[in-house]
Amino acid sequence: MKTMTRSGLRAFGFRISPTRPLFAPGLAAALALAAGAPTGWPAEATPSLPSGIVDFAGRLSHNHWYLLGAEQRPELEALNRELREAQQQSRKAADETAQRAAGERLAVAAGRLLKRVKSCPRLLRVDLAGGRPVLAAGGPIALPGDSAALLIEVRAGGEGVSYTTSLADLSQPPGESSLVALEAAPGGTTFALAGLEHVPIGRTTLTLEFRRPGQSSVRVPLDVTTPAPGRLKLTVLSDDTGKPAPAMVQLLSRTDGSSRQPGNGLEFAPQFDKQGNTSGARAANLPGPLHEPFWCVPGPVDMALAPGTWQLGARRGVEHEAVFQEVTIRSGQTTQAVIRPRRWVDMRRRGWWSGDDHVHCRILSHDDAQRLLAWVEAEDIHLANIVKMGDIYRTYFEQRGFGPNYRVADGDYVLTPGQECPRTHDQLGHVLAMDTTSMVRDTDHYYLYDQMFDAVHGQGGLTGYAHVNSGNFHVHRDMSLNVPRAKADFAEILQFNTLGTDLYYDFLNLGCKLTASAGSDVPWGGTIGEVRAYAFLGEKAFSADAWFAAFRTGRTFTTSGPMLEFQVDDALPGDELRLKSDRLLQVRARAWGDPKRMAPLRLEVVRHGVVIRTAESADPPRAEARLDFTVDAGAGCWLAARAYAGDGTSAHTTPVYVVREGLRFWKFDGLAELLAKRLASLAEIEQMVAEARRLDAQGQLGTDRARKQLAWQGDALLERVALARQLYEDLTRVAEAERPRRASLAH
Amino acid sequence: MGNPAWPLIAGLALGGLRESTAHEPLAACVQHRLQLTVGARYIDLTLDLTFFEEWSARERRAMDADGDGSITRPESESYLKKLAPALAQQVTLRVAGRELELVPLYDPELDLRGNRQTGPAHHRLRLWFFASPAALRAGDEIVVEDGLWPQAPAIATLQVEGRDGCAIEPGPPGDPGFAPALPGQARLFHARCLKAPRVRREGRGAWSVERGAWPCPHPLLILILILILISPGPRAALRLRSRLRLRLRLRLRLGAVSTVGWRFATLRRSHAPRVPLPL
Repeated sequence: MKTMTRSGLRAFGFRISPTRPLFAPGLAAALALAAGAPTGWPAEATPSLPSGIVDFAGRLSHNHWYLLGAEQRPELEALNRELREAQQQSRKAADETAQRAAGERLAVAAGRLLKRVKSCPRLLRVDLAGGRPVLAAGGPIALPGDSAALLIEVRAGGEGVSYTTSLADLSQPPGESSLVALEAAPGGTTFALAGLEHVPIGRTTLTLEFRRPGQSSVRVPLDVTTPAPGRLKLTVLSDDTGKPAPAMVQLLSRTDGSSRQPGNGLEFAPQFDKQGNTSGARAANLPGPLHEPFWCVPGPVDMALAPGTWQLGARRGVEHEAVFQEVTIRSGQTTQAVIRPRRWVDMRRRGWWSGDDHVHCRILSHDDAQRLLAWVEAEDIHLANIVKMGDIYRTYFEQRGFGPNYRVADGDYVLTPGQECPRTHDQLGHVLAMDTTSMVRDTDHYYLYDQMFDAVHGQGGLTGYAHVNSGNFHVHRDMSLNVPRAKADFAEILQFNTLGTDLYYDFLNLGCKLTASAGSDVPWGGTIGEVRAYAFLGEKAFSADAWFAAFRTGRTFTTSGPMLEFQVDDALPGDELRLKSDRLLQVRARAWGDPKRMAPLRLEVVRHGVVIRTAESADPPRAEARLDFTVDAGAGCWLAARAYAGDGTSAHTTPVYVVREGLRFWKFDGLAELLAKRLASLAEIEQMVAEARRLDAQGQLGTDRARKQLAWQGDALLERVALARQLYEDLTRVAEAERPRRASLAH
Repeated sequence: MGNPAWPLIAGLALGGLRESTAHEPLAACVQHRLQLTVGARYIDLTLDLTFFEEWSARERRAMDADGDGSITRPESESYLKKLAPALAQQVTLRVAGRELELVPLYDPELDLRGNRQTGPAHHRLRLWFFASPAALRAGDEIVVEDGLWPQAPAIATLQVEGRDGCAIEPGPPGDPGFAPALPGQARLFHARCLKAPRVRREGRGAWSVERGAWPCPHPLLILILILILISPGPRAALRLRSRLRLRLRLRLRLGAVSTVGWRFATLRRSHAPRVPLPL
């Protein structure tokens, strides 16, 4: 039986408690030694990890695996997990047995890692033990590209193994010195992993600085070379025309996972008024790799790129499949790539046209408009409501003007100016307007949202509530005032890829019609069109006016992924089915999605917010579910379809309103609770006004103009509260009046 | 405030309140995007925290150690190093009501979106964790508690992915825009396992065992193995010996030495690459 010695263990970098005796108890240890891995840990020994090994393993497996080659990556990944898990196990070990078990795992994993590092052909060796540091490197080190890493074995004399990592960004100060600082152990061997970013093309002299506790640092020059760049010519084609088209593009280095801005990747910072995420690198609120940053490119990309393997990503909105492909860039050579993201669906052919109700972006010039149009086309959004934003203090995202004259179109893509204002965050919520002819903003009546709604409707525009999906900014309060008065047309129920229907259903269940809409809220959102509202134009040719007309009828659905079709008898979403007698209604719904990413898919039909029928895509590769059934019209209701895709995206239609003559389509059985919620919202408004008035009377509001205005506008706002209260009382009376009829229908 | 990590996070979170921009609502948010990937061997969590203007400004000020208005690489690295242990303690995972130990998979990563200045901007902090589920069954509820930056209004999104035949459903659509959580409260991400992952064997015999139940080679097993390996015998014994030798050689090459043990508590997918064993 072979005995594992202390020095043998130390050779693997483990510190052994000097008071514990060592022996190897079993065959496992002998086998491990034969395999070059330390195991069969002595029962009494309590090993501790070589310092820095976990961080080292993480960086090596995650960022710099290329040093050992792609084929070693799974093993590195496994070792990283093993080390971290065993470390945690060791940390939390309650007794000696558990400690020993953890130690055993650590020993095995650490030994395997050390073996792999030592056998790395790119390993450099530096000897600091003698008087002068010696770097064993035969000539300049060839790096694969402008971002790379150095793996260095630093010998400082004595026993022990430790690990260290560093990252040097050569574009950062002190860039001129090209200093790469490494913290090494005072003695023994340190394995150092030095990440390098933004290394200039050609030959660069780095200064490796080894810092050791209690000793003066040692500097060693090291020449590295990066190969001459190659050239990438990337063209993304429209699947409709086969011609180059704007697209969202991603360039990702397979060497270290870093991304690059395409040469013509658009920046929008000046148009974002320093608001939100001002970078042109847009990480969409979409699943999986789509969440990584993409850039909008208005046309073909032609740029120098470091040699190596690159992942090209291209996407053109949700109706197209996202394409990821690898290309190899070689020094001095041009690599051409042509990507044609295939449409998995063409909703235009089915009469549905996409829109985004909530895009913030300044448009003051033709160039501003062209940049934004490129983005809209890249995301394949046919209508973008470009909203000037306001609050009680000021406005943002300036527009040249409003109305048809200030729309900007390119083929079937159009930008239309609108507004998000009023916006009160702690009071009444945010509201949107589309298809307006002028900005409506009156700070003296800022809390009287109905005035804005009326003014916009007077212009022929559409009004709605933003952020209804999240209920943010107390939007329920103003909805309680104005939705029952039919002042608002739509509600944003999908944003940041999150479908939120609680508030939406509450108002539908009160018998209030609201069109389902969606908006990205760029630049706070990820990208234009990550959520979208489709409006049904049918056979009509697309135009902004046609889209708004369709939206006005409520023929919409919202989505971040799957598509929906929904019909009750012949009625489409937003339609009203008026029935003189009870009868069965034929419900047809279909949900389908990109088969490559949205399966499995669940389709649901809801009645008064309650799921009455569900279908799932049975065939895993086919992301499609259908429902075809009959339902009793009863005393009236609203019916809608919604879908959830396997990748976390979702969709929801505007309801079909089934109205029995003389009855509201509301959820009669739940009225007490629904009305109580609304009355509670009204009470909150009253409290809010009372509080503002109290503080104002006490002179405590100082420069808080928002609440001063609230105090001053309080009377008018409270009049509206009283009006709404009256309205809810009327609804209670209506309910009582309906009760006998409903009872007779039920029989 | 029982958690020792609180002072650090609270300190960082509350630092620089005067620097806040105008009272912009979204600007005051932190977006929490959780990617939950469930497979036979691991549950992986990737948590992206996107700090909108106000919180980014606060955190950037915390990064800028020398207060010169620009964040150098060593400053951001040092910020992360200080923060990392506290971050890990603020995220927990429960499967079917049982808490699983989360292990950081990599060190946290900071993306300043190309802007290394202090002041309002956006930045992203990415955290990776993994856990080894003992046995995931259909119907099990998976809950991730995220107690990071609880003072900030959150925009939360959950992304789920099932691997190895596993099907996962994100929680029911609820209110993603959490109100600021009170100290000690966590944001909850819910998902449900619709179909349990298939237990896979990657290369025959390449099994690993339940965490914490490291196999001790049974003396009797060791003795039998030694006898088989060294003793002459009839043809059947030779065949068995030859097979065992081959298996052991392959095992050693795959680095899964310790699976020789006799306590195979749970079949698990091994880290080892898939190598079909010619038996």
